[in-house]
Amino acid sequence: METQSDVRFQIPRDVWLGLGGIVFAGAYWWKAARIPISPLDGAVNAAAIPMALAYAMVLFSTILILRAIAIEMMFVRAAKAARTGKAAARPKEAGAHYFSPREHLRAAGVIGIGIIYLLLLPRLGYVLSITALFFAMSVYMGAKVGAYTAALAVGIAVFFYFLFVQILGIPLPAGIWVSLLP
Amino acid sequence: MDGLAMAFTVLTTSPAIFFAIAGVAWGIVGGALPGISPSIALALLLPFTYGMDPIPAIVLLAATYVGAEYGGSIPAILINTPGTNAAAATVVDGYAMHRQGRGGEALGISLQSGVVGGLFGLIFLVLFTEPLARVALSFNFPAYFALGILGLSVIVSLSSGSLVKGMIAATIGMMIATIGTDPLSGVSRFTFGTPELLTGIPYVIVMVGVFAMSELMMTANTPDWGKTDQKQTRIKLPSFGQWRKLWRAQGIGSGIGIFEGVMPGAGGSVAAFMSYNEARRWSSEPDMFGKGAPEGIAAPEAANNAVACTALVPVLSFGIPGSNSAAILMGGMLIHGLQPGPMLFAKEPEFIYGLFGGLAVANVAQLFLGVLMMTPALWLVNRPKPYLMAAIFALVFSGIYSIHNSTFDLYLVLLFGVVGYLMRAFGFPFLPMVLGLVLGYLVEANYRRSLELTSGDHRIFWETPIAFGLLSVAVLFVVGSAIRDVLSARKAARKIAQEAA
Repeated sequence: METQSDVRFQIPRDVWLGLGGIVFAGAYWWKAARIPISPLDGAVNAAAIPMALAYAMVLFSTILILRAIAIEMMFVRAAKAARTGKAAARPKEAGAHYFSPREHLRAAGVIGIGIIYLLLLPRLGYVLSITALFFAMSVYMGAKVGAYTAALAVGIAVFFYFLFVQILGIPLPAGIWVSLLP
Repeated sequence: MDGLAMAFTVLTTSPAIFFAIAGVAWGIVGGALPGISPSIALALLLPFTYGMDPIPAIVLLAATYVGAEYGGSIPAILINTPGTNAAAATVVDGYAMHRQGRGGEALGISLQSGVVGGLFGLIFLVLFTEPLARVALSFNFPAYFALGILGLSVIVSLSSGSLVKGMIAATIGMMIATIGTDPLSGVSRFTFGTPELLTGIPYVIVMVGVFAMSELMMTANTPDWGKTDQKQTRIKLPSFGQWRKLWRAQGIGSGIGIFEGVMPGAGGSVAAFMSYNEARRWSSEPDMFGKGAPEGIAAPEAANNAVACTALVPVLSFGIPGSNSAAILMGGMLIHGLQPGPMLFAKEPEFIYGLFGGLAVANVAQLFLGVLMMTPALWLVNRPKPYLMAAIFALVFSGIYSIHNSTFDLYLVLLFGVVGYLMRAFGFPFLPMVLGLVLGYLVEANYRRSLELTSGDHRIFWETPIAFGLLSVAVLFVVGSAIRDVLSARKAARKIAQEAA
């Protein structure tokens, strides 16, 4: 572990966030600059506020970068001044979460399950897709693969089918099964 | 008296009573589930309100907020895990009482204090909203623009996390609000040739994505919460004698809750902790706090239920929400074509008084529903987390699909889920983004209309006294917050140096 005497300047993650913000603002500005001028536009056209927001994003992102560098420099200076050989722990921002790449991947898996559901929905129809969604999500969150989870998935799917299709009258996708009927 | 008659008429001629009761019931269950905050409980309901009439829809949402504040105390007392952020203060003495075998008593104190706080909050809401709205009636375009900027500045300044991250979040919210057809000129903006985006991104999709979907992503990495013995827990309301010992704490909680509810950015959590501290300070037995003091439950629970009512004051009078849940409620109003703000009293008095009536029913019904819903809420809390989260995922996808019968909306929910997850991971507060989204149109439209009046001359903003005053306060908030930010960074560096030495 890094000790106070050999602590080095590290690029804080807020710097990368700020740079990302500037790139995003640039893309947003580029798109805003192409908003067509309408004859109905008055003193301020439809692109004015979006372009102002892009400038604001660049400004705030720059402040975020400078702030992060200043905090890191203050930390390095304080740690070097101490020179006690103790382990150096960088201050963590309140409210932020410091996940490992593996944890990020696990969270992304939830989105992956959602995308697979959306790809299956038009083909398998609502009932089968929502059964698969419930089963996959339960197992992903730690439930055992087995008859109980499968039965629960079917039960939930049937309950939601009655709630949304039969009671609320929402035409949820029937899937390819209808086209197979004679 | 007209308002009272109107509320009575609405309650007796519409299904608002039914939806007030249903909202409290859902709120108690939602609040009882750790991870499901009042805002998530509200966001999950939003898709269902699309097809409803405005009054029952908003009564349902407001009643959910009321119920969720009590629901959060159930796992706080029984499994040492607050169901909502605001219930974190209840954990201290609530769980201590449960460990002493007084869990039922603690739940009863929480419920009864919540009802007391909610009723006090409701009285304040009814008495002060209309006078404040009358003040706002004198606002013109520049003043409305300045009010929107002030609302954003206050929220950005008071939200958790760094000021600059709050500003970035608010900017992102306003950027999302610019997507779709510009209502003033009719040109399309940021639609990328996608017809689904022509009408803009519905608030409900952003809110469900940011709050509910990102929570599902977060829970993928969190362990299951504890379980409780359902048979040992029977709710026990305080007797009159016990209530007399609690009135002071309930009064303190209600007073602080009323004040904090009106203040933007404060919310139930701040109110609960402040009232806990004040109740301890004014208690005749301060040493009992932390060891199972009934007053340690009564004060925070009265406070967070008072907040659930008074958080509506800035929404209804100025059209500025002060908390996540209030922003979602405001989103619900906008979905139904109701523009919150002073004109709402003139244009939709039935809605306003119907909402007040619905909230009164919700607060009273909470006393009975708190007892009735205890068994199903505990049953749900005791289910394994994977099944609950999977059911919520299925509910989100089914509910959002039902808005436009479109899978495009579901892809957007996933996208905003990722946005919400990144915001949580990197410490960006949600509230400024949500506020930027719901106030984006107000700010832009009034800015452009103001400049129409002067052919583009910006002096109108400082030559209009109200606008100048509001903008000055906004600048003061931001500058004050920036100074606080710099000072806290310096303090942190000094602390590192001292610890190292």
